[in-house]
Amino acid sequence: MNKYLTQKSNRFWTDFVNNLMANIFFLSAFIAVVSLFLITAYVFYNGAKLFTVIAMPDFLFGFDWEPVNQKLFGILPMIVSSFYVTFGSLLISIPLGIGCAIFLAEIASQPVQRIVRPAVQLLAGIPSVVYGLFGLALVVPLIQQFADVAGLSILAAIIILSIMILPTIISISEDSIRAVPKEVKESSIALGTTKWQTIFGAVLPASTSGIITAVVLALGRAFGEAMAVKMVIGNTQTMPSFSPESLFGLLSLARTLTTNIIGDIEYAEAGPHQDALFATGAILFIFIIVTNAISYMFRRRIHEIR
Amino acid sequence: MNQFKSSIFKSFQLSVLILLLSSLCSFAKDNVITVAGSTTILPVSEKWAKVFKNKTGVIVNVHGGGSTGGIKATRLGTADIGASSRELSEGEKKSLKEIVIGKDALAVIVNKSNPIESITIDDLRKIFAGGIKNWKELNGEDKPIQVVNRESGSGTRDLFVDAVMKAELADKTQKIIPMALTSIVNNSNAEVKESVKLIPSSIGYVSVGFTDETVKILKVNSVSPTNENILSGDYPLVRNLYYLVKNGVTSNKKISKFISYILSREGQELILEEGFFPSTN
Repeated sequence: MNKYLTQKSNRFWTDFVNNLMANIFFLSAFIAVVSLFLITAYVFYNGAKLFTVIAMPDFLFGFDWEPVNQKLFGILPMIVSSFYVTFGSLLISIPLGIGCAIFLAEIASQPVQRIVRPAVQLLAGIPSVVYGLFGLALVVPLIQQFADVAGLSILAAIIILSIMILPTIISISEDSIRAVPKEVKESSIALGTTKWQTIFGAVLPASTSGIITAVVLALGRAFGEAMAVKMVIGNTQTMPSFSPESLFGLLSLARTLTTNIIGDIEYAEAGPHQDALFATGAILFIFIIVTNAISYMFRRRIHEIR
Repeated sequence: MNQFKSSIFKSFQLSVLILLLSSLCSFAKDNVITVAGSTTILPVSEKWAKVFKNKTGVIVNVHGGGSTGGIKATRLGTADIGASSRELSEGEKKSLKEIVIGKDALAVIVNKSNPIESITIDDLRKIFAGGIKNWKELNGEDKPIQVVNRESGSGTRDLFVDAVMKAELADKTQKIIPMALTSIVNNSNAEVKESVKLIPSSIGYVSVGFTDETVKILKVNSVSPTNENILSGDYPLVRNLYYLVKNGVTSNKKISKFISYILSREGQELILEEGFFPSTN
């Protein structure tokens, strides 16, 4: 009887603690979802206020940003520059990143892997200000030496960003290359192919969706990076000049969506100027949501394949 | 009935609490001066406030809000003192009194490698409006000019616009020439200095306190921004910094004490430390 009672009270406490912990964890999840909702609502609400002052097309397709004296809120140059910088950096970091991933997964010996992998992870942990500083101190003067220009440029931003997004591409691609079933590789080799033919003909095609996920996530990171880009791009509020003299825009000064926000927010007074910055944030937000949705879709497909 | 009683008791408690708090507030107010306005002056005001509190025990609360905000707050009485980096309009002068607390000057800077030594206000305006695009037009090297500007809304930029970008029209009225948008835009004095240091063909402007030997300071209308030239008024890119009080308020002891501290030698030395200039010699 006595034994039964203690057991019962033990049971009571376990249940109590279990319920409590479950509630605490639910609360954490709830807070995460609610903050996402609040931030989204706040950014979009404040951004929408702008369109009581100017028309949406003037904002999205306007060429000039002069919010204080001339009340011009065109962000087209920034949209163009954001895409230019993002895709430019992907162009460099996709081949480099996939190459490094293949090296780590298929070629490197254990000791080499033990050096390279932590190095890549460390690269991901460097604060973006430090990347910006590196760009300002090294990349910009280098560009100045090759061409008689300011040096602060889209090219500098592309170079810095391509280094910054490398770790994302490398680690996710490596995982998906490793996840390719042994049978795929072995049957390819059994057909008498060389190692290179196996990698390019069998392993890479089998890990395509993982690599695409890696690229999409990297794209999101490049698009959303602000600090490092701001330090090396010059923050000029005009459309980059796509003339051959400026290497089709590469040597142009520019301003991206993110640098527009951190450049102006300190001095923006409440009213259309501040609302326009929120609207810029909303555009960024929409783009990030789209890229995340795409990468989510691809990740689901990988799981389905496995 | 019981409930009713307790609600009366509660409201009584509440009113006592409110009375207590409000008496506390009014007690506190005797010992507080509120300063609001220009963000340029903010750091200096804070320093003055700190020293003044140590000396007299009077707490000086310093707020930002911009020059216009400070002027409004002083007129409405929500601030005792307004800080402004612009002159009062005629209408504002009717109810407020200006006290010059110091001076701020802009230096026009170029890269060390640039052979140019001096520039006129007219040429400066043409450069920043995008009319002059190459240094050779000013007898310099054959290099495209890279303008480094501040973001719109900055007080330093306002001063530059006021002093440089106004052109006189035929009918003697003034018109502000819009600045070209092709400039590099930085958001602090320090950043502008770094850009000019880095880019050989660049030109920018910063508060004189921020210049050092890494950049070249140009003479403006052949006057260099030395302490003497700024104080004598010969250097053109200078503005006064003001404290504003309501007319007649100077009879208030703690406010007049604070202002006389600021204008004292000790107070004016503090403003020099912050990179501004004293109001008098």
